[in-house]
Amino acid sequence: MVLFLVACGGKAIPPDGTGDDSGIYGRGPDGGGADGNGFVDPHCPDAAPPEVDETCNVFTQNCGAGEACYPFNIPPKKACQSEVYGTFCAQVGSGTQGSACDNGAGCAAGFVCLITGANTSCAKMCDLGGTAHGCPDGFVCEPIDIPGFAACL
Amino acid sequence: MPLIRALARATFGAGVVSIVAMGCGARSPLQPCRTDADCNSIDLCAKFSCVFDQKLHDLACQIVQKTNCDDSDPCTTDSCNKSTGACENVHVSLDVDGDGHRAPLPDGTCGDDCDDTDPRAFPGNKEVCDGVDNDCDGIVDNGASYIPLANADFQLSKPGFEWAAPDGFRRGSVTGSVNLMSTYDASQSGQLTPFLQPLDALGKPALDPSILTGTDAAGSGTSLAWTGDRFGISWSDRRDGNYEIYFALLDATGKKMAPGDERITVSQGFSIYPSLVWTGLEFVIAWQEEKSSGDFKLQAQRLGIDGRLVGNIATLTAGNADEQGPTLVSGKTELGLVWVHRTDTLQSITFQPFNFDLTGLASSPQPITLTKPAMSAADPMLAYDKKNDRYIAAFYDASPTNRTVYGTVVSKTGVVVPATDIAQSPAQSRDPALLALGDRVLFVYADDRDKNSGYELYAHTLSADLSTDIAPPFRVTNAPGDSINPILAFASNGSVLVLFRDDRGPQPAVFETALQCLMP
Repeated sequence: MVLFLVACGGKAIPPDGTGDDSGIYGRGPDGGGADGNGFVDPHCPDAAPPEVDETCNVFTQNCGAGEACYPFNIPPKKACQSEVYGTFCAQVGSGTQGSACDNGAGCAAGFVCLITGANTSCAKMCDLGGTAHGCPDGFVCEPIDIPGFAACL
Repeated sequence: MPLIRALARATFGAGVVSIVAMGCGARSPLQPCRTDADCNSIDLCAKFSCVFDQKLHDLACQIVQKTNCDDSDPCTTDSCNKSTGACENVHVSLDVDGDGHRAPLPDGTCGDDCDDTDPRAFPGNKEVCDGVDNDCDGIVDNGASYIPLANADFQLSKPGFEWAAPDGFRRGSVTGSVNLMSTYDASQSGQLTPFLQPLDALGKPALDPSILTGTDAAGSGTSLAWTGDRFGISWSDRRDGNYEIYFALLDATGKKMAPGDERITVSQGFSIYPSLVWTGLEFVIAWQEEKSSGDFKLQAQRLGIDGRLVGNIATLTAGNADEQGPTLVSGKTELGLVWVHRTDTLQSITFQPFNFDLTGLASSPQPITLTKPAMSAADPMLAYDKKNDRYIAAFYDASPTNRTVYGTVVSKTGVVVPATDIAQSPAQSRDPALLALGDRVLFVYADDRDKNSGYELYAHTLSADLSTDIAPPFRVTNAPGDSINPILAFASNGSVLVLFRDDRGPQPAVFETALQCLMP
């Protein structure tokens, strides 16, 4: 199971906070289908690996006062472009484990807003490959959809 | 008596001999004649004689006897071949798997095969350990028990991933080198990628794993369905700027078939967590679709066996609540759906049946709540109990200090058995998987009762109404570190194969183990 990072309005947030979900295929009305939507499988066998842009550390929380370090991702804007993911500093929230969060903000330092398949809530970030992932008793460290990041669920 | 009667007409020479004389239709000119020999016909399904016609005031060829092809079987369409004069009695139902038993029509008539995709299942067959209802009594492997096999664990995902977690597991072709298909998500060189891993009849890798998507965008959350000759697979990926639902057809070995990847959704928000089923006639995908509020609703799309869309996307949920985590199952005459229904004050598990065309059932127009009010439930799973024509759901209460796996039985019209603690654990339990076997249910779930530095998998078999222990909970895995996220499928020898995530190594990986089937 992979948990999905929530960002502003469900869109990936780049570090400058200007989310852009424009794709190359154009957008139909919500509820449209594949027929006639112009989708052509781009096939990208030689796609470059994702670009990593980490400006802070989610575990040491080395952002300035009033800010916290959160992960982000930017999906490709054109077919076969690379994704970009990493970390950025943003205004710190107060939500802790299980607190509802609906726009990517609101989680405390060390927590991240995720769509879990049960709810959209803050979850403590953890070290998936570490010997002690640091999750509370009963929780497990689950990967999220940004490589290198995980959260307690 | 034939089910369908075509307008029968007999040709005679250049003209047409109406069977008006037999009592129906408009008249046609009659063929004049002088003797019976003039009435020799190419229609060998009727006997003609040259007789005096009152209205013509002359001799004419008229039918004096028709071949009667009615075989008194209501399950055949009966006709006479005019070229040969032979009766043709064609069955209205099919025997696709070639086991000598036909699949019944939707009304249950004209066939007695309980599974026309599998030649091992037909009435009168001997029940053996193979995960199949061989004798069509509604019970899979009657009386069998399941025991863990020593040293059965092995790592299924390739080494070298940053992590890997299981996603899908489906039994497919009975013949050929590939009999099961598994999928897992993995992070490889900083890229989140779904993999296909074909398995042989006993669950061992049959071919090398392959990457499902050919793009650079993250994909995950695969769901598999088997039609009898191909797999359908659905997943979400963000190659198009945000997460959309995709679908593809795979042949029995896992190779993608035309038309390749199909994008199902075109929306501004996330479209994620698809659940795919095959109804016997169509694929149906259900998923959670983000609304402008950031909450989710559930939607679904039907597809033909060739992958073509059937109808439009249907919205399955109404109201302002947040609806997540759909799991779809095909029943005998309808679809069953469970999901997480969340409001500001509760997080419950909800069930609702839908017609195969995704309309609501008149008998069950409202969702049915499966959880108790105090629960904060998650991870709903669903299985169809064919014998009793009802559904068995499992989920866990995700309350932080009291995680407990529950099972419940629900019919099309309401809860049959309220939520029951099926883990019976003194500690915490989570991540249920289940197989409905007709007279009993096998649950596999993560449980930390042994305090073995994390969760271990346990198995528990209960009666179909969850009231009686058939086999008490027993431990399936033993390695240090968490063993979680089980997914189940039958091997050809009736063993229950269990895919799961295991943290015994330096990185989380997908492991497989087996519970051996033992007949009494």
